[in-house]
Amino acid sequence: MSIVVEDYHKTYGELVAVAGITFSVAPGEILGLVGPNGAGKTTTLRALAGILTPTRGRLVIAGHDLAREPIAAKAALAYVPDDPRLFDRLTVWEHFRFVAAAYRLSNWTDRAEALLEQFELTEKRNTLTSELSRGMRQKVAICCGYLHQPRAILLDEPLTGLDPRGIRTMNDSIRARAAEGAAVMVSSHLLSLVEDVCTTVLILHRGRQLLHGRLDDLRAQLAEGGQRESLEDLFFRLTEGAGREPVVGGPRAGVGGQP
Amino acid sequence: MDRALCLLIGLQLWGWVRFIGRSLRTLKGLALALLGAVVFAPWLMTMALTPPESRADPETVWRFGPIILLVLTILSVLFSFTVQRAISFTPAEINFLFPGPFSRRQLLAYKIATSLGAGLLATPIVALALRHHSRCLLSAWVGLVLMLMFLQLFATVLALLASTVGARAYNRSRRLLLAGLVVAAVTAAFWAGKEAVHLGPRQVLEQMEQSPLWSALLAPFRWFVGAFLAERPWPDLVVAAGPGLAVNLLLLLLIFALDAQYLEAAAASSERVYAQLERMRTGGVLAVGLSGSGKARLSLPSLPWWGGAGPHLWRQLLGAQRSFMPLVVLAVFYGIVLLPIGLAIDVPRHDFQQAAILTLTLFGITPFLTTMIVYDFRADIDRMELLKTLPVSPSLLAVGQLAAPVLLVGTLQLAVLTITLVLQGSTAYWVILIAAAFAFPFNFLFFGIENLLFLWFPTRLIPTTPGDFQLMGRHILLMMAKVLAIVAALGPAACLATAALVVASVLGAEPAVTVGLAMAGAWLGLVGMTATLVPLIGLAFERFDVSRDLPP
Repeated sequence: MSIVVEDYHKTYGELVAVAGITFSVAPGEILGLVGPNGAGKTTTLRALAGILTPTRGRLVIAGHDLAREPIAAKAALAYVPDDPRLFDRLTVWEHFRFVAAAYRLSNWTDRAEALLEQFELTEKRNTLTSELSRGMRQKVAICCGYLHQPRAILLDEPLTGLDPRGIRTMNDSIRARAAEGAAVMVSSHLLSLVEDVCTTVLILHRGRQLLHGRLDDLRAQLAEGGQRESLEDLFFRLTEGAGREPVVGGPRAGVGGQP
Repeated sequence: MDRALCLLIGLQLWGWVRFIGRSLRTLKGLALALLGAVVFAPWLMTMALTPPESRADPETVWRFGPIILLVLTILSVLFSFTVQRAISFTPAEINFLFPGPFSRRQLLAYKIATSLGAGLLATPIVALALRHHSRCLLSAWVGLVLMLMFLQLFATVLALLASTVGARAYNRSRRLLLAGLVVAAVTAAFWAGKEAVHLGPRQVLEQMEQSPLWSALLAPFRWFVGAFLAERPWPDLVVAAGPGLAVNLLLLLLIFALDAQYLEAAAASSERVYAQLERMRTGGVLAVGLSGSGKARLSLPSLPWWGGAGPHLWRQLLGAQRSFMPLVVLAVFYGIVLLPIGLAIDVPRHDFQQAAILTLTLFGITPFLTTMIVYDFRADIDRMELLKTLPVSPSLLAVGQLAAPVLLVGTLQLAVLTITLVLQGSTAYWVILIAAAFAFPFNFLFFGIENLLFLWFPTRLIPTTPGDFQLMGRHILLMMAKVLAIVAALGPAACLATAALVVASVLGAEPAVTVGLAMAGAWLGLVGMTATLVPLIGLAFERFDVSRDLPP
């Protein structure tokens, strides 16, 4: 498994942000992390990125425990936050130079050029990032994340600010990275994106894990049970419904983090 | 330090140079930079070329230098614990460095290097400015570098210690114990210094200088001052700088030994610092007091529509209410400064004394507070698009936008005036009515000109780059324009007052009538100019182009 989260808790004094979640993401898997605002999605991603320290639990990236081998774990990781901030006085290419140096990359320029072309940034290569639009800054952050070919990719709301072409490129790039063997986690409020791109889904609500399973299994089980529910219907039923009773079962899908 | 982090420092430095270079390529940027340099350079040269016989007495520097450094250290520690954390990262650094393959110590080394580097850029200028206090320019520079390093490293050590202690004081009983220790320390300090309450400042200083504790406390600071005062680079400077350098190295070792789990705390505090800076960039210095915690607070009752001015006045007053504590501190500060001056005014003619106090409260407060109290267009620089979409006439919008600072400063002036009169035992409370009549149009004139110039030449309130000569030039230019505009605006009031005085004198009117006529003339002139300013500000707002005029 490329990403393993075991019994992860995060509390701030009395406030419980995440209350013990357990899941894993295999190479080639794309996990959609969904939940209402304040569910604990970003907290989980920031903990996996090494920005937040877990109150309890174990986080593993590419076989390296984040607490014991943080540098090895981070070397295999890319994290793109929901509002990526770049170094204002640096150009797009200078960002790549820094990332290449940070991850000890050699012969990286061809890959960087390809990423610039893929994300339609070739003309902006020598532009200061402070002069880029919101969507372009998002693309630069994503390219920086992809440059070192990480084995685990964490994307927080990756489509924010992107134009339709950018959205398509982004979705394709996520699938391509997964096909190359990366484990991808995508946090998003866009359930259509999750249905379209992700292979598995994890629904969080108030720091608790409501559902974790393969999307194909979920669809099949919902169809077998005669329920004509979409992921959106399921999401609302789980997060807004009175009951938190199991809605799906089976070997790979279940409620409360028991896939 | 990791070579990627060294590269990042190099790239950022190059980016800064490129930014300055790019802006100098435009005619406007070059002109502004030249203006800043023309004003700044002669002053610096005057300071740097002070002849030896005019330089400060080294004994005085040796005596007071360590005390000043002690005060600076305390202030820097307070500042780092309240406003700008000792260890804080920019949002870009958090995004790129925290998830990157770097150890905590590498990130600490990077942070210390960047903080010191930014400070070191300014030390040659400060060394030149303080040249007349030193014996040798190189010694002055080395001493300042060592002092700067000490201030930065000491604040960082305390921040890490606080982080470590905070992590250990995780339950209530431990926190209570910690609070008890702090209270005991403060009580002991008070007990030790209670004798000093009855002594004058000079006697207190002399007594403290005889105390071995005070000498021990100042000893590290004396080493830095010793380096600053060294006469020759060899052997004086080398010998004098040694202990200071050793102290700094010791602090550096302590920082790496204290390498606690600071990243999360640093990320959280950095977000707060960034939010504060963003608020300061739009709302000025007082906006730093605004809390980002989103806790429920008292709200003000809504105001009537007043043609659209009411809601804007309400919103700006609400902003002022959210910065209540900084405003109170500012008001108390001005009270402390102005009250003794007001009380010291002793004019033989009673009516002239009232006039002098009145003038003091107007000219002693308004010009200084117009740049600090910014609950007007200047705070709304990032909301100009929204303001332009509102169904309110530009002139009434201008009135609503400017009314809050005018009212706030006017209230402070009336309070200072009333307290001065009460403390003087005066019963001439009619002066308060006259002050109220003058204060509000007077304040509107000052805030109006400030906003008019802002709308014509918009700029952020907080500089975005250190050592930005263009910004200095722009500020100098704006200051000159402001002075000229205020003189021009007060001109009609002065002319009308003078005309009234002449007419009254020619007609042989009583002195009281003459003064009354002059004041009426001045008031009419003031109100007339204020009324003229309103549509002008409205027009400037209307012509403000959000696609072109919004500063970076």
